[in-house]
Amino acid sequence: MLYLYKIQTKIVDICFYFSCLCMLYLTFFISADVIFRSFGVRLFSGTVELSEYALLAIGLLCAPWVYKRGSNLKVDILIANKSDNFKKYHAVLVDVVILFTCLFVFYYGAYSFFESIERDTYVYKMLVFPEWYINWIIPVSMLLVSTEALYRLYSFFKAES
Amino acid sequence: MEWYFILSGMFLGVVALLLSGIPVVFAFLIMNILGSFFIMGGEAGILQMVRNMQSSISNFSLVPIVLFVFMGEILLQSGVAKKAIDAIDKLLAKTPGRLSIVAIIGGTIFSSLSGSTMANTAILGKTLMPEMKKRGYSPSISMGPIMAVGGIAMLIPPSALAVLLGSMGKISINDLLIAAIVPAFIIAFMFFLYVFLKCVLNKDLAPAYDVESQPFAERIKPFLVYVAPLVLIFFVVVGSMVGGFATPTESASLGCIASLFMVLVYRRFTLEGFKNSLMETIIFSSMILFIICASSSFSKILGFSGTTQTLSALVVDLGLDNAYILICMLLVMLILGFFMDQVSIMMLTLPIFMPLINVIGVDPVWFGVMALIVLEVGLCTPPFGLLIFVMQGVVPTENIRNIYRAVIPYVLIEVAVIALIFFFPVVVSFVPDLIK
Amino acid sequence: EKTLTAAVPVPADSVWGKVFSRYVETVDNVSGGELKIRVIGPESLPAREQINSVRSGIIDILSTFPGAYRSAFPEANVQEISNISLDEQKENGSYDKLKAVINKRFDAEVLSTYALGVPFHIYLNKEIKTQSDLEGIRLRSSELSQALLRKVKAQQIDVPIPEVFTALERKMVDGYAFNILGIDDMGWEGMTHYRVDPGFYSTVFNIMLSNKSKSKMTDQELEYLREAAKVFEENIQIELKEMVSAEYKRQESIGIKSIDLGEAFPEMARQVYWDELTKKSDFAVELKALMNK
Ligand code: NA
Ligand code: NA
Repeated sequence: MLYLYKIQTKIVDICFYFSCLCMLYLTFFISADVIFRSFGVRLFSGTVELSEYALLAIGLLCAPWVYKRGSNLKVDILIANKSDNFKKYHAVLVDVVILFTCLFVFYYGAYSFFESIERDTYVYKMLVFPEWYINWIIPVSMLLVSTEALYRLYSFFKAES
Repeated sequence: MEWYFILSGMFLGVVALLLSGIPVVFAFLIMNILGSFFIMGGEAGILQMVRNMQSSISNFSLVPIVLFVFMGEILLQSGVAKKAIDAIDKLLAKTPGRLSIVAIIGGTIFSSLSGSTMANTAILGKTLMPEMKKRGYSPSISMGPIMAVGGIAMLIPPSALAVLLGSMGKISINDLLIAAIVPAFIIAFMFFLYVFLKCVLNKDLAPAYDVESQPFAERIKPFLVYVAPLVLIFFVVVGSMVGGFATPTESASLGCIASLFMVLVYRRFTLEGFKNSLMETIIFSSMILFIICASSSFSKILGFSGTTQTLSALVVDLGLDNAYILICMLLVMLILGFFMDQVSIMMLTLPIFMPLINVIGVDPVWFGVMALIVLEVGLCTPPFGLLIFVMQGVVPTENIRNIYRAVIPYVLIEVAVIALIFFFPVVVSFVPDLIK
Repeated sequence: EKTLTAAVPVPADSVWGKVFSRYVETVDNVSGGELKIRVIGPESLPAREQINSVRSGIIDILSTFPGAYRSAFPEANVQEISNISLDEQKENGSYDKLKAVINKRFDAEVLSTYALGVPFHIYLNKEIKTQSDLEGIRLRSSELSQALLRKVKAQQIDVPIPEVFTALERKMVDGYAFNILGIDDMGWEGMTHYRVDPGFYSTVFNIMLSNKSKSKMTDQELEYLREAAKVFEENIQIELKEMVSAEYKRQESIGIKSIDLGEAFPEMARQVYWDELTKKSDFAVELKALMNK
């Protein structure tokens, strides 16, 4: 289990670094595009679309990393004053909910991914490419979040027993 | 299913999940899975929801949000922001509640350098909170103004949310931003007045401590060195847009480059600092984008079920006076602000409100500015307030109730300013008129 | 009484949303109020996702333009560049070929096709004299006009729809290509001073009925939908013709000047796009033989 978790952590990190690259793309390439354009040079077509996919990557591929760090936004007004014991079991319950929610979205995300490969659908905007190039992001992100939740539950029950 | 049943079910469902302590993203996600299953048609509905998640977030209009956060983080992590705030601090010398006043003035200045309310609050929070705690400031004049003034970043250009509001509502972004400047300064001034008076009346709120007294010339020097040159960033962002050089989004990217340039000029550039600003931006952005991704289906499900349309038809049918309709709209946005992020609120309401605004013949810029302030209020209202979350990030040990309580007076001030604009539209219109 | 759900890729109160509402009215009339249609727009279902929803039966009816489903039907745009009438398309079998593809890939029946003959134009905020003046001019790029703009060597600038307003206001772009009836909705006309004539390509909307929904409907209800489609198709063609000529007059009255490049221009635009499509697909070659006169 620990070995698998190490692999998961590696993948989560890789996804995070990939998001960083996307962030750098947004900062430097959009600017470069503007500057070159003012000299009448069109560097790339599809800057707009690439930035949109970069957002998708930043938003979703980073989610497992954010969850790992435990920095998701939550409203804990009702939980803040409860006993530590309550908080402990509450956290387990939340992880169970997250596990099932993400597995659920993972299932349908993966379904959509395989469907787009099978149907051979393309994204036709300024750039043209197979749709699965971007459709993998949701299932991968969700799978990583759910494995994280699973590991937390595993650690909890191991510590309990 | 009746529309009011869907509306209340979806709303109360999300609120209940939020209050149960499930992270915001998953609260929305669960409700949207249920909503799409029951309203959009079973399994096919869920599959469609998952696909919609993808298209909701790959949206160019959201790019400035990320970039404006990065701009702020670059200034924050390099220490340039701290230098600037210290310079303002020095300039102010002996004022009652000095650090709070620094927060308000610094926050207003940073509003013109960062389009992100969250980065703005984070800058002020990370720079001033430790000192305020050390000096024994009470929450209402430490956390309160930091959160509240953070929101001014969305009124003064560059502003990610104003750009979004303008594009979605087809309001001239230029007019909107110019019109919002005066109200922004009024709000900042009211905050200032509130803190000042409170500190004069109750010395215990901000215990005084000795500051070295220096001649004015000594005090203004750091200001000229560390604050004034930052105006360049503002000029790059606004200038490239007004000059027809770049779109609003592209100007945000140029703003990041300008911020990096200033950091280099101040010789504060370190790889470590750059890495940190990148990381902080990614964490913020990912959280927000993930929420947008999960919550956008919420408005889509309401739209799909016909709930939003029925509601707006109902409003039109009532044949109310314009003023009442406007108040209702702002009230709806205000109430939504308790539970939702600003982007979701806009996605939910503007498609209904903007046609209505045009039909009843209300000046869209006037409405736009009031809507912006209402959205700004939503940033600070519990239980879901992005700036509250930022503050929570800055002071993780603080009881959340104290944070809620601290921000209330400032929320009331902002509501009062909305009322002022409502009764005296000239507050919004006179600067744009002056330019024309 | 039964209510069906229909989707359109544009806001319901925009011109193309209103045009579709004529079909909704027709269904209401033909069925004597027995069949109602509720219309949702992109705020409820993203434009590019609507085709998936009609396939899965989440929505019953969809009226959309070919660009919205090109992802699974790369030749879809042939309808927009064809220069033969709908009747001719029906006669020579090309229409049936297209319908068959839509039926197979999107599990939907094409009820009606409309807006043929409503052209696209290049709109500018500065004057040009000849086609060669388009070289280097900064135009907002769009999927449909991409090949044409490349051909005339315009500088294509990627501006997403919500930012076009500001881009025009700040003179970041010199113009854009858009269909004749749409610019009023977008609020761009205040910054538009010239229109390049004659128009090129053609707007196309196909009304599709999900096969999945059919199973939930009676034969009578299906008959209402098909009958209404026929009535609508005839009437709307006439209405749209009037709307287009009224729009030319309106644009003139608000000071948008016409720049005439001659008939060779739209012809060139069509051939450029045909070349692009036929390069990649044999089916496009087959359709070109039928649909290009
Ligand atoms: Na700002
Ligand atoms: Na709030």
